Amino acid sequence: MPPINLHQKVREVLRHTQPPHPEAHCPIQHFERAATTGPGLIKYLSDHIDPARVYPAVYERHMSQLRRMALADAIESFERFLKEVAAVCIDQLAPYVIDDRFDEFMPRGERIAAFVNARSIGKALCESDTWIKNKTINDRFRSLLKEPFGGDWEYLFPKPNQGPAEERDRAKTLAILWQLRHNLAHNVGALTHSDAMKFRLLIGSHVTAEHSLVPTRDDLRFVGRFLSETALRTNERIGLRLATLLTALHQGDATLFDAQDTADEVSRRFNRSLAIDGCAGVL
Amino acid sequence: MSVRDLPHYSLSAATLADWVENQPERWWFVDGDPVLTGEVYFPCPSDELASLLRKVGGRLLLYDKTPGSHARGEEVGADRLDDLCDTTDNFQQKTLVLCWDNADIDWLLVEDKEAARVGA
Repeated sequence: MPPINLHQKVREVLRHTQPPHPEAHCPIQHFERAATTGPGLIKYLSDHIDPARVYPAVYERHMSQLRRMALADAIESFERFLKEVAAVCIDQLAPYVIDDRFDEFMPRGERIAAFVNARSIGKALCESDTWIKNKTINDRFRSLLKEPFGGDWEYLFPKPNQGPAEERDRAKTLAILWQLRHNLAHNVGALTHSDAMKFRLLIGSHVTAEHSLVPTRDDLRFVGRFLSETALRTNERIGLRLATLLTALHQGDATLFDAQDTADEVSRRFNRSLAIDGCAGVL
Repeated sequence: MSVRDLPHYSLSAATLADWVENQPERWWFVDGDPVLTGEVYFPCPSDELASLLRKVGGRLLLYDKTPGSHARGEEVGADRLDDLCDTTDNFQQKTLVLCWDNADIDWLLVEDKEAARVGA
């Protein structure tokens, strides 16, 4: 038998794909679906494999690994949600604004090809960067959703000295999850001394270094619930802000776009009725 | 082989909602349905699922696990759904195998006793 060409086999991975799910056009629906995939896998196995009928220690080791993967997957789904929401905003605003709001997103040279061929300017500008730090996310959305030629929008995930005050606790907890995601992606759940120190600063209490994360099912439940609530709240805040900006643009020049058509389109993308210049969007 | 090719009954989403709502202490997980999982974070309590089912509307096909069944899409009421539940998993949770009548994806509606215990 000839030797297997592993170089070729690695390249073949990229041929094994499937089209996106229909709900992928709507970031919040895309997130909700993705966020329950990992917990669904774990529930199915837990419901149908009787640990007493297999090797219990091996079963628990594998389930522990699955829970770690599901935890990382949930956080990464939230990152993708943020990118997709930003892409929707860019697609809606790009034809009508000429200020510097997109400077945060400008493609570097190596991304020009993707930019030229993309069907969505927003996706081309948002997809390749990482969105895994509150500060980066804040900077991008503050610029993207600012007043035309005006000041920046509010902080999406504010620090203790930033507003809106009611969003600070959520931002603080989200920062812990970004650090968890970093740990899971780069250290496979092993808490280095550096990780332990960062977590200690984030949660305000001791975290044991040189230990591995072993998330429980309850951990997954509560993280998933937190991310779902945060995604819904974020979807609401950004959707309302985008509708406000589009309303201002339409009031400045009613020939720019059809308010009802745009309200319908934006409402579908945010999965909630949003009004633009008095026209309520229909889902 | 999908539910529509197997013995199955037919019911409205509203009927399923009635059945779910009559069990207020339970929590539910939906495994595999892009329609429902795109709208609500699962597991969720009965009232939340019932409300979503009524909002989505439409009709469903329900797999009949009864050995030798010849069911071919006959209408089934909420009063029969307990009998059609599979409860043979490790925790004796109620499970229904369903499919929207305008789609090809089979999915599970599964009770989640652990979620009911912790409330999340």
